[in-house]
Amino acid sequence: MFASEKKDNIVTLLGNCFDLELREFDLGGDKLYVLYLEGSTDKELLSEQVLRPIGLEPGKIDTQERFIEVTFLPVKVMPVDTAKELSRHIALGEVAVVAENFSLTFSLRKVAMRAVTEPPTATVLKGPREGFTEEIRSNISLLRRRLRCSTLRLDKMQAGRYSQTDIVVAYIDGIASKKIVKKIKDKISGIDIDGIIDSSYIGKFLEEKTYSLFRQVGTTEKPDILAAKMLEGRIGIFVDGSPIVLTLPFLFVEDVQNSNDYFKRDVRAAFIRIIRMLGGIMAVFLPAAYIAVQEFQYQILPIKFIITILNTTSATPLSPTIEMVFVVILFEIINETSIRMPKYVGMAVSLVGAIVLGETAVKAGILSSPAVLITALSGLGLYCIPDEAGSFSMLRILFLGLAGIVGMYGIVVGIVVFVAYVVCFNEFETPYTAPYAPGVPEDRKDGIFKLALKEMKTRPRSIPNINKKRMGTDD
Amino acid sequence: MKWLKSKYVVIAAVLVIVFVVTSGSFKLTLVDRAIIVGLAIDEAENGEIELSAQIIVTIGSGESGTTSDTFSIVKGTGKTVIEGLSQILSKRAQFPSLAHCSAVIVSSSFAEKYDLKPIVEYLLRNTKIEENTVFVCSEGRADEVLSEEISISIVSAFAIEKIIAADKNFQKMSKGTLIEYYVSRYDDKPFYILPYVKLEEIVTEPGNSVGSEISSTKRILSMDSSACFGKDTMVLTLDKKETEMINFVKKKFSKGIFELDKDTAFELIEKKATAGCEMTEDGSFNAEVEIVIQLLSMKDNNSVKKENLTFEVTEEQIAQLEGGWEQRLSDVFEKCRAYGLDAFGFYDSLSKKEGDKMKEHPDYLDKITLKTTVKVSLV
Amino acid sequence: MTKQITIRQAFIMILLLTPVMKIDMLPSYIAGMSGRDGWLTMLVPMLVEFSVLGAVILVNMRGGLDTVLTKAIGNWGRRIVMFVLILYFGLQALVYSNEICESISQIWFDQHDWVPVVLPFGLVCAYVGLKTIRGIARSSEIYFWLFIAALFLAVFFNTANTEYSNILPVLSGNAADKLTAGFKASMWYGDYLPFLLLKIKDGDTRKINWLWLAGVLAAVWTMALCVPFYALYRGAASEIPNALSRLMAYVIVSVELGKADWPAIILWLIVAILKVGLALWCVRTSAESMTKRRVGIWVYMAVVIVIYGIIMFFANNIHVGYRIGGAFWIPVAIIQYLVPFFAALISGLRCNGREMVKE
Repeated sequence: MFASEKKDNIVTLLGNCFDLELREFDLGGDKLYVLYLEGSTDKELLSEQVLRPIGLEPGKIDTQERFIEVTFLPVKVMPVDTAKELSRHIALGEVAVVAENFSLTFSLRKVAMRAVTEPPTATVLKGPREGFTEEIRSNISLLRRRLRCSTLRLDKMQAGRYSQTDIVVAYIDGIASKKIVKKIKDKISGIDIDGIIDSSYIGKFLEEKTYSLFRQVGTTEKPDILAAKMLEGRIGIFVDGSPIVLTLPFLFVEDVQNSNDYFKRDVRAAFIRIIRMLGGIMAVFLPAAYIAVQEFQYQILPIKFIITILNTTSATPLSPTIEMVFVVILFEIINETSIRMPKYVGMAVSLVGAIVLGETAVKAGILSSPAVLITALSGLGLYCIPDEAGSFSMLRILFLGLAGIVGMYGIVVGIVVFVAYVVCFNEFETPYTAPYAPGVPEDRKDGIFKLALKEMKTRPRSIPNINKKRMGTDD
Repeated sequence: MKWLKSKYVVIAAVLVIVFVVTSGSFKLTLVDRAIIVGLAIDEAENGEIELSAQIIVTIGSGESGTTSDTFSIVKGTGKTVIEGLSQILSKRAQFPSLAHCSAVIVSSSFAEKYDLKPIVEYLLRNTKIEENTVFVCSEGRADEVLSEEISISIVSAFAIEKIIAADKNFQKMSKGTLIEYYVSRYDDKPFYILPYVKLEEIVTEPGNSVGSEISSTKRILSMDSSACFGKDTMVLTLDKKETEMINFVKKKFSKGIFELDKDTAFELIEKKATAGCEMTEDGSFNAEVEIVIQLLSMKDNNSVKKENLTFEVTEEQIAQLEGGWEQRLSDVFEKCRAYGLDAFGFYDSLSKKEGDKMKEHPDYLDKITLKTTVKVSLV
Repeated sequence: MTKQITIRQAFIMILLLTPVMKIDMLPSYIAGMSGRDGWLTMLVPMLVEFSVLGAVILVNMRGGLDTVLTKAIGNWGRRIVMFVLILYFGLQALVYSNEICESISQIWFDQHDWVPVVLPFGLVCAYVGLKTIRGIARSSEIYFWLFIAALFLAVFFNTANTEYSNILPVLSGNAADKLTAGFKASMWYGDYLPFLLLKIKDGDTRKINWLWLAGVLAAVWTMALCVPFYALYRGAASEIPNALSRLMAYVIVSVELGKADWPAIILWLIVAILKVGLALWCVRTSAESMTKRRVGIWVYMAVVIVIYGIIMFFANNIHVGYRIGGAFWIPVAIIQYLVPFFAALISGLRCNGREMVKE
């Protein structure tokens, strides 16, 4: 096919879109076309490295090698034959060169992206503050700064029929389990969807229990956390367009851990982790326990508590269960509102929420102050483990319902079902509740308690990995 | 198995609806319950049981911090405790709850007439009352011990609990709890003890805060006596010294010896034993050992009110031993020696008295009943 | 694979699940037979059962009951044994569930609510029974330390407060009757039989003798709770149900914190549900071994519906449970001892001596 025909086909395939740029060169009678999308290409670099040299070239450029010789491209070129493929590459943001005897593409992408800043969901008092952005190459460069070994593997894949989203599976060869890497790659290859908008889409395809309350894929927005996890044997999955990197395999105890823990004193870190666990337990069980002891197992309460509760609840019109459900749902509404509302009205709505709930409803006798207090404490506890705040919030409503029906007995039954359900998660050959069930004593050094870094001489046995030794000579 | 999973969801949904319908979860809340903190049991005029329940009454408001706690004494009568509680329910329109009852008080007049075991058994089995609830006997009417107007820190029922907790002597003799009473009824013991509370006086004090006209009433209680129950009913009361003495002697005998420690509060004046034996028609014989102990209290010289207080520490020794009655007699000797007593002329008196019968009926000598009576007096 | 557990999990399961049904209503039931010497009556079957543990270990080393029976007596022989085990574990689940529901109803509710207690209980036990043994074993690991802490508190505080001289004299009266009366409560024993149906993970079998230690510790724990119970309640022990909750009421950690009875009761209930769940798991596993897997699930569901239907409509108090337990004690005792010894014997005769028989 002549170059001009090919060029016309490409333009037609791309729908003659307004941002498609075309530069035409006549080199000794032979046409050479350069096509690119205006918003996706570094025009300066293109002009300097490609267009100018071609324009200044006196002779023909009739082969790919000649083209490479003439231009000063710092990137790899890929020969592509058909107009369809060329148009696809142009849509991906690459530059296509169409000549009489060859056609090729290369990437000089430059897209608008935000600066590397501290992610809002993972703030630290001390420690690195870099966070991933939506640009995959930038993210990979951040990772490479942390892991400068030659065994870092970055396997690129694509998913999404229309989005053609780049996905990179990152792992350290010699540490990560090859079986798990293969399994992940197979799952990603098997994704057949129109578009991947965010990494969570990939996460949902990788999970085995789709409707579970608990996530089975870890996430992180920080390169230091990702590097640390990869050094333990986990695999990172970058998705272009998303600052959230997925990590697999995932353990429940990872949600209790925080990067802050590794930058402060170990004793303090251990204490804080216990506080987080207690906060999570309080968030889930406190409202339910309050209902249970009020309606069913009142004999648990000491007499002074009973008098206090009687004083404050005797005048309220709602039954304790209904009241507590109402307050919890109100809390959820306030929570959702605070995320969605514009910044400018945020203060006013917060005041309304606080005043309405905290003062007026209690004074009017519609709600009792213990119910509001319990819900507030529970709400605070939810954000001790922010990644599971959504799950815990659902769980607490569930337990609330059980407690309202049969009291503490319902809570116990719920606990048994919940634990039996969670301990059976076994994705990617990793028990979800390790290192506590099944017990892996060596891994408990960095579980709910935390020992000193010097004690962590081996990699976790809870997740599949190859090389167990972390400190001392590498075998 | 997807279809099975959906089936489980349907079954679970149906069952949840069943739970809601059948569980009665919306019937009772805390405000629907009458929280009883003290219970008094007396005899009503018509001979029925009269229950007086000290119930928490709170005046709640929507605002926090401005409340007052009062108590109300509600009475209910009936042939049984159930009927009494039902009357309380109908008067208060609240379900009586004994889960926080800290004391059950029985009047001595009631205890002298009626067996308390069925009442205690009902309370322990059918209500949520704690088994460590204080159980005391009162001089006079039990409902007078309860208070209606006092704030929680010196409520009478709580006061009793605190007195018992503070007085270790009572704890040694009898823990003064419902369960201890109940369990001791199953022990093979001839008596058991309950604390005995007396209402000394009721003091009314004028309001002592500026601007307050409300006077407060204080009940002064004393509890240094014990009520002694025989098989079913109360038989006598023991004052503090008697209670101490019985506790002391019982503890010594339970170890099988009767020696005094140097720190003891008593001095042994006399200890002697006499034996009697009698042969019955069928050839068995009853042996009796009487041990008399006289103690002098080292604490003070107050003499005891009752002389020669007797209680039985009874043992039945059924000896199905080979070796004849000589062997069984030597067992009796061993037993007396265990009490620190010298050998006495038991065998001699037996053979002198019943020697002929013993020769006549050697085959029937397969049972000895040993009865040991301890008489303790304080001089 | 799905029937494998590690030696650590087996250790914990024995330690956790052995005492749980012996410290509720059983002490008062035994007290009705033996009075103050009930603790001895309870101890004797536990000691005799160590022989069963030995047989179970042997069978496990040789491939598990399924493998041993198939190789030694063929498929039909195995099916007959599995049918017997379905009946055994089903009956055990029925009696345990009756007792636990009675306990819940007495302690947790004002009136003797029965249907709201039995329905959720049946559902949750059926759910646990549907899980793999790995799920049950991991759940045991999670609750283990909490339960042991509660038991330790019970033993520690009661040791300080109890007059142990109350259990003297020991074995007064008809000693032989008292020592053998425990076998009439065979329904509450047989704690090692579920281990016939599962497999200790390859590689852990070198440590299989740890299970003896687990058995000894379990017996010690049980006695450490039963002896104070009999010492506290003396002649009235037969009238006092719910032994553990009564003992924990004496564990007053501090005046402000109050008693430790409710946390212990909650933990006990959780572990009791696991125990019944394990029995139902055994029913399911036996049913699947007897038939195909899909059919086995239906058999399992039918057994569960029958058990909880009986409890809901017929066996609605503890005395019915006692009667069932007492009526079937002979066949239960025979199965408890016969099946493991028979399996151990035939595995020795027909399988290759001490070598492990691979599945």
